[in-house]
Amino acid sequence: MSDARLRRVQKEIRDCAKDKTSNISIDMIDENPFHLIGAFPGPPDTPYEGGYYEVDIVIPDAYPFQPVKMKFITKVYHPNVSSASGAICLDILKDAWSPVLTLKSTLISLQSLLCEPVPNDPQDAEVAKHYLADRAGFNATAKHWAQAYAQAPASKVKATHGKPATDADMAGLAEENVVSFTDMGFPREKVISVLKKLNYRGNNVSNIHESTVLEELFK
Amino acid sequence: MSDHDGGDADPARVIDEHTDMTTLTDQEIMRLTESMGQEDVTSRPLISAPVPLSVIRDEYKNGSSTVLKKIDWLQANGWDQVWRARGDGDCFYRSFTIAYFLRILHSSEPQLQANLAFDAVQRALPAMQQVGFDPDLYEEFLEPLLVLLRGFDADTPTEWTLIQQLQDAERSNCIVVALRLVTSAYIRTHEDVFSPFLLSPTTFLPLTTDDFCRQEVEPCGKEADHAQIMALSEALHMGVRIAYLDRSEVQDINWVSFGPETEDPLTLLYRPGHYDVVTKDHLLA
Repeated sequence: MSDARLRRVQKEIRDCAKDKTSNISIDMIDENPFHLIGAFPGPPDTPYEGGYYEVDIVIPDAYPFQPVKMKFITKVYHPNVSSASGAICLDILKDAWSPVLTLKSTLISLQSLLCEPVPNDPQDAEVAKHYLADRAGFNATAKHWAQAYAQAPASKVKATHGKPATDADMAGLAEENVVSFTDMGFPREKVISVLKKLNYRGNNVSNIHESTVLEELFK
Repeated sequence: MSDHDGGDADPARVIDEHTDMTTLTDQEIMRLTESMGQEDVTSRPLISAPVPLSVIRDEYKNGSSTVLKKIDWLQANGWDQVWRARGDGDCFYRSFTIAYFLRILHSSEPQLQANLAFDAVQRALPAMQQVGFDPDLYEEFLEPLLVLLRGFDADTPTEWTLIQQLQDAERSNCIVVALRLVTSAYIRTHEDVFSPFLLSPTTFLPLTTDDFCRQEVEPCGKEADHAQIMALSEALHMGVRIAYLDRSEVQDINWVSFGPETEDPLTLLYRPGHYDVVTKDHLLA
């Protein structure tokens, strides 16, 4: 089985290198053709624009009959990507994988996943809640992450006016909301983690009673 | 990942050795068959040498009398050999493959039939290109099928050599993928015919042609249902007849025909959730 697998992967890497229009790259790590790094630019007109995204690729023994394993190396703020591990929720990486898909077409699918999140089938539930409750806030946070982790240029982001993103920005929270609880003496890190979990953002703030937040903070 | 628990809609009852087998519904039989497949799926051959129909009958000894009657009808009418496919979701495509080759092998002119089959596959290629599959990729999956068909020119295989060839995992998986792509291309190029029947097997909601093909046809391990069977038999111009071993009360047995009317159509045996091949013993015929 491995001969056909090796032939196919090598051909896929060659084809991808030849194709200059897709802007997608696939490179070997340590000369191992079954452990690769894919990369692509963040799609235009999204919060990821200007960023550069790297993906860890592992070719399983039964490839192409079984799906390739991919996860983001670059941190991404997106409902279908775990903000902690980079794990991706996408049907073609699971039971909708088909042997006619390739490394390149799968990376292109990841690119379009960045354009069109699927919040009702999330990988990261907290991020998905943020996306659904407060789209503008979500976009701003995703941009902060793109600048901080994916080398997106800061000039594209109006909201910060060139100021470096704060820990509240990175969590998609409003500074005044964070301060209203740190002023009570709670540690800032704890406040941010609790408000993130409760999706204390946008219109949702009025739905969450202060006592609910305090209960969580005292845990 | 915790967001993916589907949850069973109907609470499944516990089925064990005390359960009266005659009370099993088709759905329960399907679940049992599936879980059976998962347990020892890798220890079973992809396709087996033929076993007598009585082996299948023994499995239903304490089961539904309706199913037993149907098995007895098959036996009485000379359908006495079963070629079992592994229950891994690709069983229809593997069953189709062995039945396709057995039909050629047992025809009066195997070389001619192999050439016709080779032609039929070639005629399916334009549709595959038309729907946008990469020729470099699908040609690689088709190659093992075409090599086996061309092999009839040099030296007619035997049942035994065929089985051996089709038990090779890489070859068999390639052929499964090739047939899945032929099926998908046919559905995609005949959208007007198929679109009313393209439903999700889990939600029973309509799917777009593209979603159906991407989710239910092209990936390995996805069971074939009527739409896929119809499409493959039409695409390769090969009639398929399926004997349904379900619990419906009918005279004799339900044979459901797919595709064009061909002489000696492929004959498959269906039990809820699984396909095998059923044939008459050609040595005795």
